[in-house]
Amino acid sequence: MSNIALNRLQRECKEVVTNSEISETGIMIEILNENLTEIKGHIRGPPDTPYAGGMFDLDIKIPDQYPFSPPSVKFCTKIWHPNVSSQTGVICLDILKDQWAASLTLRTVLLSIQALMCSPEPKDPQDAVVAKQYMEKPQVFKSTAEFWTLKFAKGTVPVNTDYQGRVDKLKDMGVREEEAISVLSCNNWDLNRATVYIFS
Amino acid sequence: MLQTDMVHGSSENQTTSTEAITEDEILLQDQQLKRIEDEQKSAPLVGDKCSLFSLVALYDPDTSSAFFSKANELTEVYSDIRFIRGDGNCFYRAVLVGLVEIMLADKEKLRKFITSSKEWTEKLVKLGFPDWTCTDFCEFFIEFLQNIYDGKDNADAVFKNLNDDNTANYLLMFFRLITSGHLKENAAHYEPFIGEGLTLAQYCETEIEAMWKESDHLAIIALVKATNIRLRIEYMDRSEAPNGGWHHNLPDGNDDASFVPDITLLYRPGHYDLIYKKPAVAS
Repeated sequence: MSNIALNRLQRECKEVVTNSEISETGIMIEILNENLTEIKGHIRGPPDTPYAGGMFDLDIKIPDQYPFSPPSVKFCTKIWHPNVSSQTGVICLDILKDQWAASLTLRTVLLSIQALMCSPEPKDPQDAVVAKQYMEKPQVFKSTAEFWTLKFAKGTVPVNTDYQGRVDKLKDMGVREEEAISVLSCNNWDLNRATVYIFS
Repeated sequence: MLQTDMVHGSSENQTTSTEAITEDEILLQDQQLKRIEDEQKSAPLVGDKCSLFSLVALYDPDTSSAFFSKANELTEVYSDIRFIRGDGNCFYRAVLVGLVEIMLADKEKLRKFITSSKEWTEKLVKLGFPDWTCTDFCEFFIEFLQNIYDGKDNADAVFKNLNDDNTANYLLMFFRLITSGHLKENAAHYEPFIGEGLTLAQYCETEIEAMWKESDHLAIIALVKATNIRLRIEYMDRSEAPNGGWHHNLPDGNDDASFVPDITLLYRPGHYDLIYKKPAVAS
């Protein structure tokens, strides 16, 4: 990366860290290495969404061609969202792909991801299973996303005992909790179908 | 080189598709893009000036007779060509190089261009471009010109910069920004030409301000006006020219007799290179 790009990145990081609205916007970054190619992002789950109360971590990698190519950003906290892979955390967001512009910054990227958390776009999904549930069973989607927030993002909503009970049943059969949650979520919490899926 | 440009364009279209694609497909697409990128990178960003006969040599007289004979015809008027890398930036890059060559030879034109670049910086901010991320590019461009003006950078240093991806991208971005700025400043005039249900602002953001996006006729006229140059484009293929002729004069299609271009580009489907006229023979 050139010096110009490095200077710019330093300024971008400062913009996020010292911005006075931080307490309101709920975005934060952490610099992981000196040449600023690896950065950790944090987004507080927006209020009035199933993600409220959670804290979501993101891996941000700055490419050589930055700022002409977008940063690569993915969730490292597991999240149940139509535009994020529930397996890998990969995000489907236009500005991280073909709508990237060199005038965008880390701040605008994090704010855009936060906005995506508020308004999913199920018609342009990253995770087709989540998107289908979002459109066909909105209530199940909501409680599943809340459950994930509680389990993986240190959320504060009361635990859904019904869901937890089914997770525990799979755990009793020797399934790891993370896998149990994932498979149950993908099967709309149908314990029989989840069991068949895992053991067949 | 020609092909890569076009392949690049079509794969971009794929990624904009709204259909859900699997992660395997994304991976495959990434691999394809990487291959195309490697191929492109084997050519310099800005080639050395060389004889136009090197263009003729690219075409087989039997299998591409039309281009072969057109290339030969061009050698009657033009003597040299400078190949530009086909990476979607070729139009902007060709104009940049053409302009820099003029300014290396003419200090007064250079001084004027520095002044107008400073004016553009203010204008872009007024037009609502994001403040420091955009002015960074302007300041970088102005510094590049100022170093030529102050004699800090000679022609060798300048061409080294033009061939360095890091530096050149910043210079190109300035061109993309003023192209976009000209369109936005004259939005009422250009809005009717924007298709596909895009607003002018959206068009500027996705087609102009995004690096490696190929230029269309709107981008061309806007950059010509923003930089205040006279540009001639020679076409290898007559059907590609907007006026159906072999070449096109910009900004306003002046007739050939009175038109003296500052810069001449050669258009081959999907790609622009710089070409140079034979020196006038003293009568």
